[in-house]
Amino acid sequence: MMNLFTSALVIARRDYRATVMSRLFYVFMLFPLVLLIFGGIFGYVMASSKAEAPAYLAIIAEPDRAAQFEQSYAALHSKLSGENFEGVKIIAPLSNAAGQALAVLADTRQQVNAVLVDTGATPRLVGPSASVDRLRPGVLLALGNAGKEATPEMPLALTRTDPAGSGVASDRAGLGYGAAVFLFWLNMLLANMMLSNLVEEKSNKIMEVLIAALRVDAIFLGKLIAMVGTALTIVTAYVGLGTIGYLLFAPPELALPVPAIGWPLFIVLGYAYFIMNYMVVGGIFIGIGAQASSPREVQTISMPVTMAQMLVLLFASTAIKTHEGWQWWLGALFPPSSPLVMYNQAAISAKLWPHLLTLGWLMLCAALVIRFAAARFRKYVLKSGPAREKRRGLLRAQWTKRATTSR
Amino acid sequence: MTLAIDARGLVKRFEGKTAVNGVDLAVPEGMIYGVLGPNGAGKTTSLRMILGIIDPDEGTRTVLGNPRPLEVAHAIGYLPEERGLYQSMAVREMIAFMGALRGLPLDQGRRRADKLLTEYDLGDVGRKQIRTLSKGMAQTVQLLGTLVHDPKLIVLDEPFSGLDAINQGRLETLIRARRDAGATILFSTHVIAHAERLCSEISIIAGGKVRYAGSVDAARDRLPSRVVLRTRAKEGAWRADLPPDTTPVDGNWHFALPSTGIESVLQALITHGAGIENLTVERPGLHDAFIAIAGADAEAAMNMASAGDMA
Ligand SMILES: Nc1ncnc2c1ncn2[C@@H]1O[C@H](COP(=O)(O)OP(=O)(O)OP(=O)(O)O)[C@@H](O)[C@H]1O
Ligand SMILES: [Mg+2]
Repeated sequence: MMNLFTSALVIARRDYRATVMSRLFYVFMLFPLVLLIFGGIFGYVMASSKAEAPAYLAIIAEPDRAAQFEQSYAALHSKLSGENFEGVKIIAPLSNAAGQALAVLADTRQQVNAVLVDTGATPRLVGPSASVDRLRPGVLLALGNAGKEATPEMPLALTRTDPAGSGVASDRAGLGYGAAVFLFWLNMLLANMMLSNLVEEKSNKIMEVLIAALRVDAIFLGKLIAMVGTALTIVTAYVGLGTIGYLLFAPPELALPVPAIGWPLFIVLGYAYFIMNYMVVGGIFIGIGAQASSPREVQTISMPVTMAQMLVLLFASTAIKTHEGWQWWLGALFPPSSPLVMYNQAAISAKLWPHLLTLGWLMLCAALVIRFAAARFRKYVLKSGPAREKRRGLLRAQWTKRATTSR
Repeated sequence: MTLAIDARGLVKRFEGKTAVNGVDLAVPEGMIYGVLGPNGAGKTTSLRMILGIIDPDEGTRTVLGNPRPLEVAHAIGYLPEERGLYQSMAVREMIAFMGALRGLPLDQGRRRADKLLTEYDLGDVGRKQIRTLSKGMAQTVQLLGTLVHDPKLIVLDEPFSGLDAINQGRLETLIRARRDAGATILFSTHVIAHAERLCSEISIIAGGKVRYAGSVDAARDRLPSRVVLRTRAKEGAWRADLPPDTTPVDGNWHFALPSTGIESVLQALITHGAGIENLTVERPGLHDAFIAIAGADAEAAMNMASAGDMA
C-alpha cells in the first residue's frame, strides 16, 4: 500500500498540472492584479486611518519635571498650531532609564515615536532618526520653557535607534497589518479555486475511481497540496515581479520598514503561514464543498464561505488592533485567523519561537481538519457504515512504515 | 482453493432502508464470477462494500486475504457503474494516472497505456483529449485504465452496458484473457446472457439477499427441463395424459419434464392418437433459472429497466 503522502502526491501532481495547464489558470494569474488594485484602495484607506491614530512622545522623568515638560510642550503646541505634535506620555523612571526607553520604543502598543529621557544632567532624546530630527526643535523649546529660563543653548543629547534601518514601531504595525491582509486576499483567491476544482470533480463522477484506490484523507490532502502549489506558483511570480519592480523603481520615501524579525525570516514565515493557513481554511472548504451533491450546490455554498472569510478577517483585525488580552490570544489561537495574527506579529516582534509553536499548532489543526472532513465525507456523502477495521491516524501514518503488503 | 473475495453477512442500510441484507460472497481465485440481480437488488452496494469504498453496517470482508481492501488497492482494478474520467486529460495520461492511483509509476503507466491502446486498435487516440471520444470509446479507455496495473482482482460493475455488440464481444474476450493470465474477475450484470457465457460461478442477488450461489450449470439443474409439444389434434382424451402444469403457448404445449421421464407421456399420446407434430426437450437456460430463483416480480422489474441494454 502506498503511504498517505505518496498517495496524496499522486493526486496533487495531477491536479497541479491540470490547473496550471488550464485556461482558467490565466484568469487566476490575472486575478492578483485585481487584488493589487483592491489592496491599493485598502492600503490608502488604511494609511488615512493610520494618520489619525495618536502617536506619542514619551518622557521618562520624575513626575514634577515630567508634568512641567508636558505643560510647556502643550503650550508650544497651541502657539505653533498646524505643526504635527505628538501627545506626551509620562513614564515613571526605573533604575535603568536608557533601557526603559528602548523597551518603550519597541512596544508597539504604546505607539511611541520617541522617548525623552530626563533623569540625569543632560536630557536625551531617544528614537529613530526621522522622529528624533523632527522632534528635536520642539523638545528643545519645551525643555527651555520647562526650566523657566529661556536657554536656547540647552544641551540635548540624541540617541538614534535605527541600527538595521528599523522603522518606527507604528510603521511596523502597518507592515504587519498589510502582510496579514495580503495573506487573507490570497486565501480568498484560493478558496474560489478550490471550489471550482470541486465542481469539476463532481461533474466528472471520478470520485469513485479515486476513493476505490486511495484513502479519502489522502485525496483531500493531495487536493490541498495541489492548490497550495498552484497558489505558490502565482504568488512567487508576483512577489518576484513585485520585488524587482520595487528594487528598481521605488522612490526612497516608499522604503518599507524592516520587519522586526528581519526580511529573510519574514518571507520564509510568510510562505509557511500561507501554506498552513491554506491547509486549515482549504481543509474546511473541501470538507464543506465535498458535502455538496452537485456542482450547483457547491456554487451556492461559496457565498456564505466568502462571508465567513470576511468575518475571519474582521476577527483577525480586531485581535491585531487590541494586541493584548483575550481577544488577541483568541485570534492567535483560532486556526483560521491564527496565521494572520501571527504573521502580523512577525513584523513587530523579533521572537522566533512563538512562530514555531504556532506552525506546529496549525499543522496539528490542519491534520485534524482533513481527518474530520474525510470522516464526514465518508459518513454523510458515501454513507459508509461503522463496521470497519481501525485505521492508522493521519498524524501517525507518516511515521509508520509501509503496511504489511506492499508493491 | 483460496478465495480472492470472502464476504460474510454484509448488511447496509441507507436511512433506515435496507439495501443489502446479509450478503455472503465467496469468489475463488482465478475465476470469472458474476453477480446477477435486478435493478436495485444491491449489487453495486455490495461491490462497494467489498472494495472498501463504503464500510458495511454489519459483516466482514476479506479481499486478497486482507480485511482492509484499501491496503491491497494496488492489486485491484475497479470499473464503477458510473463512469468518470477527467475530460481535459489526454487518453494515455488518464490511463497512466489511473495506474498511478494504484501505485504504478507514471512513466511505466504511459508505456503500458500505449501498448494497451494499440492492442485494442485505439493506438491513434492516445494523445487526444477524453472529451473528444465517443461514450463507448471513453468507456473502453476507462476499462484499460482499470487494467493498466495488471490487477490480480478485477471488479467490473455493469461492464457491458453502453457498449455495442462488437465491443461487448471484445470485452468478453478481454475478460477471458485476463482470467487465463491468472486474474480473478468479479462482475455484476443484469444481462443474463453475458453471465451465462462467461461465468463459471454466479450469485443471484434480489432484494438485498443472495438467492442462489454456485455454478451456472447447477443453477439450471435446479429446474427440470422444459418440454415443448405440438400436436395435430387440439382436443382429445390424450389431454389427460399431459402433466397438470401444462400450459398452452402459441399452439404448443409447454410443461416441465416429468421426473419419471418423457416415455410414459409419449406412449399415452401415441395410444390416444394425439398426432405428434413436434416435440423438444429443452434444457432450461440461466434466464429461466433466474426467474425461478429471483422471482417473477424481480424479473418483470428488470425487463422493464434493462430492455435497452439487451444488445
Ligand atoms: N448512496 C445511497 N443512498 C441511499 N440509498 C442508496 C444509496 N445507494 C444505493 N441506495 C439504495 O440501495 C438499493 C440498492 O442499490 P444498488 O445500487 O446497490 O442496486 P443495484 O443492484 O446496483 O441496481 P442497478 O442494477 O440498478 O445498478 C437501492 O434501493 C438504492 O436506492
Ligand atoms: Mg448497480
